[in-house]
Amino acid sequence: MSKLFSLLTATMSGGLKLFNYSGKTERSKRVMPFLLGTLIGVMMLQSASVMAFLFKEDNAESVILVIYALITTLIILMEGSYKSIDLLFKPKDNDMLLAMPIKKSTIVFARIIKFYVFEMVYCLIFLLPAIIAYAMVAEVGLSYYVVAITMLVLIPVIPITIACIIGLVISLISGRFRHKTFLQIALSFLAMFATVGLVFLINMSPNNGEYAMIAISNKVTEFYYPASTFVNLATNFNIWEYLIFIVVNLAIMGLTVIVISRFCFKIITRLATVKQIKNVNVNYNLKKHSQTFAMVKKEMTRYFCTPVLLMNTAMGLVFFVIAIGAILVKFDDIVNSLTTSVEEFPLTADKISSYLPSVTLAMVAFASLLTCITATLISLEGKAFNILKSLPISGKKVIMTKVLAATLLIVPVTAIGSLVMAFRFQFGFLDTLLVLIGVVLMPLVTELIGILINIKYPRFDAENDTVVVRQSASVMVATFLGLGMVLVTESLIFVTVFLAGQTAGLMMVNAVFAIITLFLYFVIASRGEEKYLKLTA
Amino acid sequence: MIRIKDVCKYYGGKKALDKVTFDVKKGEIFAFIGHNGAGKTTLIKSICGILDFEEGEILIDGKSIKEDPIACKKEMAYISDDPELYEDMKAISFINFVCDMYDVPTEMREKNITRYAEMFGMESELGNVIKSFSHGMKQKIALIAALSHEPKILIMDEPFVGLDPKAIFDMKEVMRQIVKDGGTIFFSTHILDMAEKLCDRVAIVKKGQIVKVGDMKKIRGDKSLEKVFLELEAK
Repeated sequence: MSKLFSLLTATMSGGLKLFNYSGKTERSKRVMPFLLGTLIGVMMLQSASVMAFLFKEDNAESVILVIYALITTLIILMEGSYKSIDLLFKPKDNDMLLAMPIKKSTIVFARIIKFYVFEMVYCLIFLLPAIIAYAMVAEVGLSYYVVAITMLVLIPVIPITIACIIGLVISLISGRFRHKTFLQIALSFLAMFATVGLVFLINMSPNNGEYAMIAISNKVTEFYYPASTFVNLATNFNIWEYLIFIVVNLAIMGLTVIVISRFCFKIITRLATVKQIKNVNVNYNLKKHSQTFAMVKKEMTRYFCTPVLLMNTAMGLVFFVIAIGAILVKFDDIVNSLTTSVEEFPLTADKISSYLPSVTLAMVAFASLLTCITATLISLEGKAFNILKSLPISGKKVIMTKVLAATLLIVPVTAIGSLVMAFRFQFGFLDTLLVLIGVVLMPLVTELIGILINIKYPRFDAENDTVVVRQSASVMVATFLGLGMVLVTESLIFVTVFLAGQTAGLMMVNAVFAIITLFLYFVIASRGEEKYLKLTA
Repeated sequence: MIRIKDVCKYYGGKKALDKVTFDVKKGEIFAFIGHNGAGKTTLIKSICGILDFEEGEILIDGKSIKEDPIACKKEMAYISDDPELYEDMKAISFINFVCDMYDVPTEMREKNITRYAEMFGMESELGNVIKSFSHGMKQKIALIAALSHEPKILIMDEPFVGLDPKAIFDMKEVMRQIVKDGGTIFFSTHILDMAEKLCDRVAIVKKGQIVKVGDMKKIRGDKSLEKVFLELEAK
């Protein structure tokens, strides 16, 4: 037990550096994540409260507990499957710990606990506001608070254990092959789509006169044990049901630790083995390239060889492609449902078609502003950052090539999607051009902001890539800012197009983004580079 | 070739380098020795423009590392004590990347990569991903990359750590050749025997201060460098 405690203390101390800034100037870095976190928390609480009051009218306020528990579960499950591989099997302390007289199950347990602690952030963002909102509208007693705290702690257990098992299976399969990284990415995507697909497979259509959310909630409580228990215990507390729930969760956690411990040594060995080939007398291509080309190539290699970064940043683009596909295939159905459902604003098929350039730009904004790759690119250099700093390349060029590489990863997807929309729905030349300008400007703004955030919140000593990509202050700030930027940009597109007409509206949106791009460029050229030059790994 | 004048570096309130002053002349092998935490890596990183320093000046071939870092870096190659390279790259891609940064012509990189890869026995490994290499192999790749652009000044932090005996021998030969061709080498080491045999001059650092600097022969006199160093440490 003392070994486990020491191990937990050691592993957690490395991972919890999110806000661990010392010194007077460094401490100020805590302010922004804290403010943004609070803002998001307040917004979530507000939306949960509105929903709770709405459902109260139908005597169905417990729906918000189910819906938010489901959202928390799905998010943990979707991102957990690819995160678990790095967190469980690839930490830098593998060699050190495996050489020590500690049981493998102790090591696995400590790692799962660390994983769990970081996933708690989703409970705090989604579940906590729902718990507070429910308490505001329902008449709750002391038992509710006991149940609520227990649920806050135990809701992540099942999705985390499932994610760990998925990570285990992916690692076992990919570890057998030479192209481990490629397989890991492919299988992780498959797992993610399977999760989303499973949710869609369940028939959650509302009955006549029933709210869609109530229908979803009813269906979820039928098959998802934690959700049904949460509602039962919140509305009618039963000590036995409560205790059984705790025991079940602990048993699931224990079982997962046993299963993963059984395979962890084999997986760690397999994943650490990189097959070598002997190439004698091979003529390598040693053609000279510019610094910019070489840097962009380096960044691309890093991106495609880092599954957790690719998975984490590709989601926005994947949803963009899915949305474009849905519009192309199901356009008539979408038009039908829109023309019949929004009574206050009568829409016609022609009117909807005429606004498709704005809709396309709005989708581009969603995909681009939520795909912040650069927020990790400096931290991911790790100790190799010193090599970069010793090379005869200016700080500004390093920063801008990182921005360029990230932009180049996003633009082709959004540009092709937008062009397909433009051809299919015959956008005018000017509207197409304006959408394409937005396609370039929006990721540029996101990536310029991302790199500035990473310069302010670098982390070179992370124990693996997942810590940088999912658990760093830089990514946290970039995510919160991205969400805010999506809201503001979507509103801007809506307001400008509504007030000034489509083409003028698109022009205004692009003008705003062009000004922000220029402003950010000058910030990077002055203060950004200055701060970059002061960084050391 | 390298002029270090009154350099001070602080980590918070702690002075890591305290008015460090000495010169490294063109065409010499200069050893920089000191105990762990004495300030060796800090000074090396400051010379290479990796670490900013608060006071003093470092000139590389007459140019200030603070005022004109790019021009200074073009003259140098830096080899870290911890060869953390770009792990996902193939060795050849990494070396080519470094060559691109230094604007090395194709013919020159072909000649040098072949030469040094053969010398360090790495020619059959160039197509492999760096993360598959051992510490010593990574160090060799870092060396090949550093030497492929024919730097005038080679700055190395503990360059012999992790190298096999053959590679150490070859490394010493390369160092002598570079100096013979008019280059300059500045390196830190804990292997005092090697410093004694290889170097023209030496500086000994203790708690961020230079306690001895000068010709190797003058500094050690009749004693060994190890004895001189230990006596200075004991004071």
